[in-house]
Amino acid sequence: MKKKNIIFIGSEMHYDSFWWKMMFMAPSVVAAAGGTLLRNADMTTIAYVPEGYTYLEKLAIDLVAGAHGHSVVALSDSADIVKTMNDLPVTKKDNCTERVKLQDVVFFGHGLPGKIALNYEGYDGDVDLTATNLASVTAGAFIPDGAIYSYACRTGNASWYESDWFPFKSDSEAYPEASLAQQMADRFGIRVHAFLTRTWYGNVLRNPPDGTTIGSALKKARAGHENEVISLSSEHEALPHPGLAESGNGFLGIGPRGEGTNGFSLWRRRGARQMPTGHDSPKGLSRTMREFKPNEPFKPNEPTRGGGK
Amino acid sequence: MRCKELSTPGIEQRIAEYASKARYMPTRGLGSTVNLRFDLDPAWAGDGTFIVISNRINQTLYVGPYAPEIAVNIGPELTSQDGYDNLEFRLLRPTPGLHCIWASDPGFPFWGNARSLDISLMVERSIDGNGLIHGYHVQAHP
Repeated sequence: MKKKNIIFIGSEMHYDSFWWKMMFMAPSVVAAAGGTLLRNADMTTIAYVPEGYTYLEKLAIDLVAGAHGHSVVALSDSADIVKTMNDLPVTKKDNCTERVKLQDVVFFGHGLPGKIALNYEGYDGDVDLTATNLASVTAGAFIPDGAIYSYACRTGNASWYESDWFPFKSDSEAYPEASLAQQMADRFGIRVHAFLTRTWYGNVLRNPPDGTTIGSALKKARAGHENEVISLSSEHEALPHPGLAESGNGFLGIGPRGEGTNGFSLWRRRGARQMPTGHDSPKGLSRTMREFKPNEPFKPNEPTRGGGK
Repeated sequence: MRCKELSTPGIEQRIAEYASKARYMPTRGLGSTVNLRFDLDPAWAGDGTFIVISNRINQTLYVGPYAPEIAVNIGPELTSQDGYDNLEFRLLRPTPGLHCIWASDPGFPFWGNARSLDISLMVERSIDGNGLIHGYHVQAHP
């Protein structure tokens, strides 16, 4: 049997920001390079939503895919997520049938309770994983010790409630047992790792205290180089992205134009400096990544189990 | 508000996609309605198609001409969990082709019996103390 890993990468259409544009790409590049998050596999697919990424931004995954022999797939709708997970060819070698099964699957993208939204706030249409289309992924797609890691917000949370003044009193109030994470664990009979809180990508591309230095370096270096990759330090560079974060006022020193970061996206040459962590919202929930175990022994011939929240 | 210019056929295709999506119908009629009131300038909205999406149930609540007030019939799938939801609003104008989106990170207790809500669709988004983006502001009238 051959083992396959998949790295799903969402678009970043929500923030419209130099600082956040590449937040999903950076940890994906580290995961694709191997040796950290995902176990070694016979094949790896990088599946990404192209909306809103420039050629230079997408080059990050093309380069790591080329270096490691991974395949790259562009996702245009929700059905493409299912298609990618079900792409498990049976091959023949020396008259023996060889199957491919999923080993590790990781999601870097936006999310809401019950939904991994890989094109959140996109203009080109939804690319979602929900309980509904999860039911179309082959139940026996994974090896027995397969795993899913979701770095999307609130995959382990089935509650829409949130309040700063009346926070959750315990994790159980977020109904983790009804979450998309638990539904994935039950469907595939595997361990799923996910957050109950939102996910914090603020430390992924940079150490936040370095923000002022990075912003100043770009503001100083950009004149006459608006369409070029600008080296900001041995660690960071700015990728030209016409139209990104074109808000604020340069003269008044307000917003991205005032900061001098409009029209570029921040990139760290080696990808993420660390994996995303748990955010402190919704208030009152554990911020650590939780492991969801399947509730019952996996049965290969079990019929499709759909289900709602 | 975030907007993108699109061709007229592109906008029409997106409108058709939203129109074909499942529209929310309460599973059990509570006989309850929530009124959503908006502050967009009708002249600016023009002949655009206005769309209200519930992320909680992954369905559209309204697809049609922009109206300053929209009534939504609600059922238990929305009123449970104190009525919290995360809504997304879109306006698609065919001529000139423009697709605008208002979304907010934090949820809000939109759904409750006979609730009336004023929703201000903001031109400039704001970020709160938790680092969460607000694309609209909601005020409830009990």
